[in-house]
Amino acid sequence: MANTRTDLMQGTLELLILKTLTREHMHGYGIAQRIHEAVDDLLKVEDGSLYPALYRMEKRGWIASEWGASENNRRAKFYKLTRAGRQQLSAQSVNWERISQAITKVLQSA
Amino acid sequence: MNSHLDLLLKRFDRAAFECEVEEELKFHIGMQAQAYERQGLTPEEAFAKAALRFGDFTQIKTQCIRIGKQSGVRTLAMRILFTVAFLLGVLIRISSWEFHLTRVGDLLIMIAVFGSLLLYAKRSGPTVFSAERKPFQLGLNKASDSLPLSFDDKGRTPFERVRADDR
Repeated sequence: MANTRTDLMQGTLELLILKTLTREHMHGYGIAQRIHEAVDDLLKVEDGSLYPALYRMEKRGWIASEWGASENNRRAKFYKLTRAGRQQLSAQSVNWERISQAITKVLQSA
Repeated sequence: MNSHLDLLLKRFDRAAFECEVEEELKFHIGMQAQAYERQGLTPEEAFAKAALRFGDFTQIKTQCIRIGKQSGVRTLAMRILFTVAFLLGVLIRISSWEFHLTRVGDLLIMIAVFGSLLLYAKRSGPTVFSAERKPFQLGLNKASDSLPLSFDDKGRTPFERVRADDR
């Protein structure tokens, strides 16, 4: 199979994580699975790269974490979106729309 | 209050935060390995494939620890506030002999000290560790817990087998 997976643009992983956490609180593995399902394997999202992003986002106050029991009853760290995270998500979504529109415009005009 | 005190005490155990990061990352690999096992891979191959998919464990762990120990803007602002309160408290305490003013100084010092300690404790997140810290299990089934290194008929390790299959 030809390698058609695209590398994720810098900063977009945070947007994907924020969006994933809008529905429910999840552990890192759950977030990774949900992102893989959502992007339908078109984007190359390294599993491990998720965690530094999660820690950074928690530092910024966009997400909060607590330990709980996973679906198979193991101790897992769950993340949830904070109010600051929701604000960040809407700001980043608007920004992303603007960037993608701008790039599409340039590509169509060239 | 007890949980805050617990957090504070745990914070002084520098290894606790590192263990927490490691446990979280190992949980991920364990879950992924289970998923691969359900797809029919042997426990060793499932673990090898999950570990490869995860990336450089040590590097990611180090990165997470470094980020976790950094102070955010909010924490920095709080720290400055507590430092100012502490210095002001000390200044009032030594420059005034009047009882009611020295009490104000004491109060400021106490707020600064307890506030700083709580900030220090909260840096590691809301974590409660069990009394005894056991070695981490990867959550694979009994047979795979020890993950003995088995070689196939070509003399390849599970990692080499998974890598070869991915190509």
